[in-house]
Amino acid sequence: MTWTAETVLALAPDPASAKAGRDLAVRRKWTTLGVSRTADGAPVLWGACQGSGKDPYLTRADTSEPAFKCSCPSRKFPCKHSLGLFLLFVQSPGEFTTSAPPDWVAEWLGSRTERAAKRAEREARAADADGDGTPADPAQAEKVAKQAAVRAAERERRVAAGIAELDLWLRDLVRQGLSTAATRPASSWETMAARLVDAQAPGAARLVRQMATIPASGDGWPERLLDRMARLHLLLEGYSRIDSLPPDLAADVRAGLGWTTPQETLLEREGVRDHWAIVGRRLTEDDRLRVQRTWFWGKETRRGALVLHFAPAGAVRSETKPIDPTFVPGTAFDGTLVFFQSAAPLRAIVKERTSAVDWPLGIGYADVSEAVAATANADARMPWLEGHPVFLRDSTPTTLRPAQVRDATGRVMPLSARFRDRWRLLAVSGGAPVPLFGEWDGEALTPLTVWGENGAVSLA
Amino acid sequence: MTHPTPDFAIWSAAVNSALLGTDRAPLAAPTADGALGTAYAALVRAESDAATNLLRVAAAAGAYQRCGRTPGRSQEAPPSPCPHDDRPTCTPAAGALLRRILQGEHESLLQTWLTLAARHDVRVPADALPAVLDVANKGPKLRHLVRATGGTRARWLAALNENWAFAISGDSPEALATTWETGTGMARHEALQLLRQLDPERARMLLETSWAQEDPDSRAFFVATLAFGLSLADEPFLERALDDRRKEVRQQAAGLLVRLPSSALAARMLDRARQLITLGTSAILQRPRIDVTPPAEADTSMIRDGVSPTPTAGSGVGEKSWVLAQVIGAVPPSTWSAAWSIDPAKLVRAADGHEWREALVAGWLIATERFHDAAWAQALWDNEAVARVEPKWGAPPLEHVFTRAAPPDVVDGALRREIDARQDALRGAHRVAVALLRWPNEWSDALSRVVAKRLKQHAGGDRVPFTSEFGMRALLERCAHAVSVSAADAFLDGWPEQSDVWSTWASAIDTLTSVLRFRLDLHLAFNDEPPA
Repeated sequence: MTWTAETVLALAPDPASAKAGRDLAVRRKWTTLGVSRTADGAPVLWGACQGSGKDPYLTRADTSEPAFKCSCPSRKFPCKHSLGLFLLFVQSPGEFTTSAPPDWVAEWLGSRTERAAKRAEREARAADADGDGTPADPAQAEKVAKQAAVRAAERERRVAAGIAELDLWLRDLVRQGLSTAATRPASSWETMAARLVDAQAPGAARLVRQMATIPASGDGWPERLLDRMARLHLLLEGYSRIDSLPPDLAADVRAGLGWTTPQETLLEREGVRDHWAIVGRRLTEDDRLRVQRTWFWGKETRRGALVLHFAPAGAVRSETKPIDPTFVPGTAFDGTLVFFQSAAPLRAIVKERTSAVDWPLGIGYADVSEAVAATANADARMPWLEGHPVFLRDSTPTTLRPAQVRDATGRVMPLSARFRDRWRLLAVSGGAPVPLFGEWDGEALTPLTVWGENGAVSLA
Repeated sequence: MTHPTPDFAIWSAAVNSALLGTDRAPLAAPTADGALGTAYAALVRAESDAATNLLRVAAAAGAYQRCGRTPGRSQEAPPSPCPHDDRPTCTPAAGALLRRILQGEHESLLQTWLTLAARHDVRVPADALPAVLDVANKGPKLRHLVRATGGTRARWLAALNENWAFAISGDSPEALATTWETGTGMARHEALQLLRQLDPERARMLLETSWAQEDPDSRAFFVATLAFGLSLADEPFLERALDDRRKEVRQQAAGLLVRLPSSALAARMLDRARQLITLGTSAILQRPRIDVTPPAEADTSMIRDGVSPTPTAGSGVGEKSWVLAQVIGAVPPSTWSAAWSIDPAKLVRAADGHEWREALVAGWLIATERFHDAAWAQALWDNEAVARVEPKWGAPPLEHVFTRAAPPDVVDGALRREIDARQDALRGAHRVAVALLRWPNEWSDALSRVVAKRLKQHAGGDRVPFTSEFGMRALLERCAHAVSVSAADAFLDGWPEQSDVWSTWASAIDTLTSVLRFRLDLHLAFNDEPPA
């Protein structure tokens, strides 16, 4: 990709680092500045920056990934020196002397290449064990395959035990009445969730944790809780006769309980090539995980797609910093997405980004009725969908409360009570119809992006 | 959302049963029509327990509902759209910088951003308006700039959020008058102030009409707004305010009347002053001699005219000197130089060694600032040894008087020459350093460069650690905002980094250059020509 000051600064772990990095992007801060090229032409940068200590900090950056290393003691990553070095290069590449990397840079590059080679070797071996290549040692491969099969069977057994327990727990709750749920301590949900994690059914665990917050969520909570419990029950019933389900739906059940599909397996599948518009991005964080949800919309395929990125929670104290900053809402690319197997495919990974393209005009739903019909259709095929992509070409945010958006026919979608950025939404729309993208949960819309006279505006 | 009625009953029955518990309230679903009614029989199975059956029914009924929902229709009229704005928004680069400022990077440059936007007649981008309006809500100083750059969108938004009401007023005298009559607190004060600038007569009449009902605490604020567009037409009202019960109101009114040369109060003060000092000629050297007739105690008529009768307790200032200073301070200083056809500088020097020097100088300082007399400002500045008095005299400091009363190019030139000539001009309490801090104007290219040269000398050759430089942090902070963008290069490079004291200076200079680089970016983003 082509790096700009904005995309470099988006790598900063917090605003303070961004500012410090910007202040270090000055020639006089650096005693040496050098650049060389990797085999595929990406610049590798290095520099020595005089800090408060006796010895200058030695900073290096490989812009292909990008990857950084700095001798400073900062625990932030990338540190301000790395950002400053990269930023200075983007702003004034002429300040960098082209030469062969000095030893301290070459060593780092060498260790990285070595690690990459080891990783590739490991992956190749794993692929051979899957029977995709010619195994070097058939006996060894057979052994590996056997071990994998044993592990898989063991997991099935544990999941089955875990969900049997969950089934009993759900039925107890229904027998005693949901009114008792409101008085249960938070730990009773957490205990059940933890047992499901032990039983290697993290998907089910997540659903139980989500239910824990419902009794305190205000009016209509019994309906919402029963709806969640019923859907979870459906997942359990589905698993109990998974062999009789259509393959796509069976995949949904397994994904819902927590089986994952390895990235490598997905990448081998055929993808969907289109002009993909990046229509929204949302960052969520709980005490375990930060999740970046990036939403795409295909120009010809006329469908939404969701790509998830994960990072451990707490590593970076910033709610706004994206995990992968290279997907910028309001931009589009020609490329290929591979969808996870599902009865209503939505989640995907990006297989290839061929080139940036102009924003595809005219994408999205014509009105609220079309959006609701499309999401209902997906719901009917796949009952465990949690958030639907809704892109309305012309929607008018209303100025009254409770907040809504309306289309030209007067049909409305209420906005989520948790949506905080209503004033910015109104400011951008100015009371006129604007393109709007959001997540629709069946009851309320959480706007993520609105388009105004100056292009896409991300909402919080 | 609307639901098909017969099927909906199944969901309601499931919720009721689940809420109470199937042990106490087993699911008794009504017979229902439609697909769900038909499915119901298959969902409730004899081999399953009541709880399982309920969950199974709920799963089907929930999905059935979700999929069958139709969107609601609004009963309200659509919002009235914001009127079109002919002015363009700022460049994307300028918008990006504004968002960075609003996220906390160089917050102090928001005013600079808005000033540039106003100068180039471009709008704040719509998505940044709520944050800009919030800042201006907390800091009234920026409001006129926000009104100038917010466009129709800011007013449209402000109509929906009462915190932003300030963005609407300023539209028309009628709107301001309405705000004055129906608004509260600060909004009224601001409306009056703005109306005063558009239609001074109308503003005063509004104030007179409601005067009797106004809260005594607010009256002094309201009277002070008459400083804008002050004219003789305000005199009768201000004269009446001299008899107000509140001291603050009386003082404000007197302070304004003094500034009206043809007012009765100004004439009374001039009379008093003329009785106190006269000009003679000294026998020796033909020097002008100021003869002072010490005033009696301030009488009630003087007190009514705003003279405060007693100095601050314990200041050691005599009552007669105190009254003398105030009376002179209420008379344009040009009175003396014109009436006696004498250069202000000569008069200032005539006060040297005078028995009443401090009272005379304090009076002149007060008057020079009050009447913005450039010639007197220069004369006082040039004769610092005579023209400085202690704060207890109640006069503004010399640096303040000079930078407020002398024309900007005169201030700029004087400061520049003095920095050039004096090693220590930027150090500590030197009057140049103090004047630079107090002067709100942007510095010329030449002045900025002289300051840079001097600072580099301090940070290097002088070998004084930054921590020993009293007041330097404040001066650098002022530099960052006041130096001409055209001279930024003089600050960005060429610091004496080899000096053994440099490490103590480095972080403060980094802060300075960081702000300056951002200012350069701002000017580039607005395609602004640096001032020549």
